Amino acid sequence: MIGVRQRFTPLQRLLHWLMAVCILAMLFIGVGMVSTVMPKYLTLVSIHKPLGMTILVLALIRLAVRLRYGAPSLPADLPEPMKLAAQLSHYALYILMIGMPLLGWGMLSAAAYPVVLFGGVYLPAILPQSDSLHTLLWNAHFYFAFVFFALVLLHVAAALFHALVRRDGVFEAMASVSTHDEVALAE
Amino acid sequence: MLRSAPWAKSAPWTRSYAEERFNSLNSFVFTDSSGAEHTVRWSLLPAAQPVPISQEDLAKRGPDFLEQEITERVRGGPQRWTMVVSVANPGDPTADPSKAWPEDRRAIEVGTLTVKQIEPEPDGPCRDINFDPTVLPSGMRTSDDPFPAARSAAYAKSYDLRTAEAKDYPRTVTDAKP
Repeated sequence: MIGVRQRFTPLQRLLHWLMAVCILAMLFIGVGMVSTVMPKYLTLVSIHKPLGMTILVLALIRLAVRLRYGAPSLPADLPEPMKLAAQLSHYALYILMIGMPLLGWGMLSAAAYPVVLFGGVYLPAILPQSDSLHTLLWNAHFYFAFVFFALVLLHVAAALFHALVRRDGVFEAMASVSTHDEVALAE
Repeated sequence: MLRSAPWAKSAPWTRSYAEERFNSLNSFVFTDSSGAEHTVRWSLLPAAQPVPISQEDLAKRGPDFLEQEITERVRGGPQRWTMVVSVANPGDPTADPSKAWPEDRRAIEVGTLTVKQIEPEPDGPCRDINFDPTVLPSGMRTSDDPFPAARSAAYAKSYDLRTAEAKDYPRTVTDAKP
């Protein structure tokens, strides 16, 4: 008998919502900090870097947890194109959650900027100083941020579609606050 | 520019960077060995005796004579500046770099800058670095002066644009065969 989870595990739900807050904050902090020369610029930058590394660590933990526990299967009556879109958009979200902090870290390394975390901890450079690498990574970090934003909007739209239109339990699989795992036994 | 023009005409000019005093203008917060914080402005005072030069003599020199002069001078021996920090009293305008503090503020010698070598920019280690005034060692941080933050934001933008055009500023390849 194989237990088929109808919901994500409590750990997965916790990671999802914690990261949702971090990533939304991150997107707006990123847009804000490149739009100002006021003293808040320094505050925003000093949050952006450590928060990015926090997201990287959380994303790696989340990936490991996902590989270990998997995900509830999508409703059988969900049209194939939507299943495909769901799968691909989640691959893209994982790639961006892990890739964006790495692009940022690499970009700072290529410019020989210090990467300071909360508490004055310095991260080592992961790339040698290089003008061309810096430009490449900076552009990638900048444009992928908009891709990330678009994906988040798509993700929210899809979640609401499942919750309000289809009412098929997909939304509840992640949105439920219940801490005990409900396991339906497979026939 | 227009407002500084009368000052520029009357200010003493020197014939060398080595005879020049450099001032931070911006204030920073330094922490002393007991952990107490002080808002300071720093200055680099030249060890070399300043020799004033007249506007007429200045006009006769080449547009990059200061750069050539410092290169030659340093080749002849290291040049030194003493780093002095002036400590603000409560109520001094620490947030406004355009306002001088009274002359009697406590001044502390904190170190010596020694220049032993001048390297031309295209091949030097400084060309690809962003000199961000908010990247500070431990014991120093930004103050209520809003300009270092503005400089940091603007210099970062400038650095991004500059590094994107680095191919138009090639290094001088000295050992390449034509």
